[in-house]
Amino acid sequence: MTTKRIIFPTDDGGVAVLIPALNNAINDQTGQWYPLRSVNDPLPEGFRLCTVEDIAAKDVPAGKPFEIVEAEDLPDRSNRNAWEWV
Amino acid sequence: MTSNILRFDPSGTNMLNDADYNSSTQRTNGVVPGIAQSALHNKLFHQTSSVAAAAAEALSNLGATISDANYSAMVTAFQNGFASAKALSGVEAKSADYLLLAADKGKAFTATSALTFTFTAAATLGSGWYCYIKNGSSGAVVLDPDSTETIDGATTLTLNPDDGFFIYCTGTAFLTIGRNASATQAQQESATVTNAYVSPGRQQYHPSAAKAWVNFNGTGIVAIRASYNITSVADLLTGLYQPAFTTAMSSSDYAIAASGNGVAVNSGDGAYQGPSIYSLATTSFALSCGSNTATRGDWPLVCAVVFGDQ
Repeated sequence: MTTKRIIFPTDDGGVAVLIPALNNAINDQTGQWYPLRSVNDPLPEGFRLCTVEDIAAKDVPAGKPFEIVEAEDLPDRSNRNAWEWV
Repeated sequence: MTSNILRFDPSGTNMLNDADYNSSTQRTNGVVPGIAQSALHNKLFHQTSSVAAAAAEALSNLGATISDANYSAMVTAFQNGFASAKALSGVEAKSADYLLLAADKGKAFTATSALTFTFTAAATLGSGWYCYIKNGSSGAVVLDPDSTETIDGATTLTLNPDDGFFIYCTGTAFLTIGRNASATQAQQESATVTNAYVSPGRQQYHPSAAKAWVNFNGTGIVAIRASYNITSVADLLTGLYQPAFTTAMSSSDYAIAASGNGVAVNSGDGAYQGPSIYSLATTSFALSCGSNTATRGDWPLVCAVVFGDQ
């Protein structure tokens, strides 16, 4: 588990928070992704463990800015729907 | 038996026993002028001729004709015998089509890309020719015997990725040993083949198998507890979460079994509404978790399992 989070603006001005799952592998030559049971499992040949940056590149909608932050730095969720991207 | 190399004094008559032969000074220092010890020399000729006769008999049993009248034929027979018994000297990688030759007897090959191994005619390779072939590529590797000759009864044989087996020649055709074909993704998806085994890397392609699953905490600092084939969960709004697939689905016509608890992970009081499917896309899906009112709410336990075609 990572303490990192990826934040990016939603289309309506809000903020989405991506929780990365690092139990995935990526092949830099082919760009192919491969799901793993855990980060400790053997990697398929030619693959490496993915990073938070890899997941941001894959799952943040194209063209949107994003930031990688610590989860503990996010605001309290009591007013979650009012979060704004500034 | 076609060998004229015979054992000397095979019955052991008038021969030193092993202990006396071992301690004989004429054995250790060589004979000296004088009266020859017949028992000593019988032992000498008996031992040396036994080794020679055994080697000759073994070669003749393999089909060679051994005679002290044809020394060069004996040398050839020994060479062939040693060549047949040689250990594998490594695995040869092939990246392009290749014609298997008589000189490839006993070799091991691995294909590093999709290609075809063609065979020299079985009669030329001869009965007893053999090799090992493995498909180390992600494509199909084809074995194609000469003309109408067959391998395991077929004119061609395809190795799926990671398949490998022993191939030998009968003199008229080719047969395999240890051929257990692994199922391809297409075979797993069609789910009808019954003579291929399922490998761990492809079992999930069967239509009955789950393609992804996730268990996460949607409250506080939203966090994934465990997952498979999920690269991230997007916390979009209160009670609205969007997991993304590692390997995408082939269409958005897939099924999700979702459940959870709006109160606590281990609570019997979880009669909140949902989670319902908010959206389905090939790369992700979104779940909407309800509260005990008309609004969405964060859930401490959200679980989803996905079935469909990848």
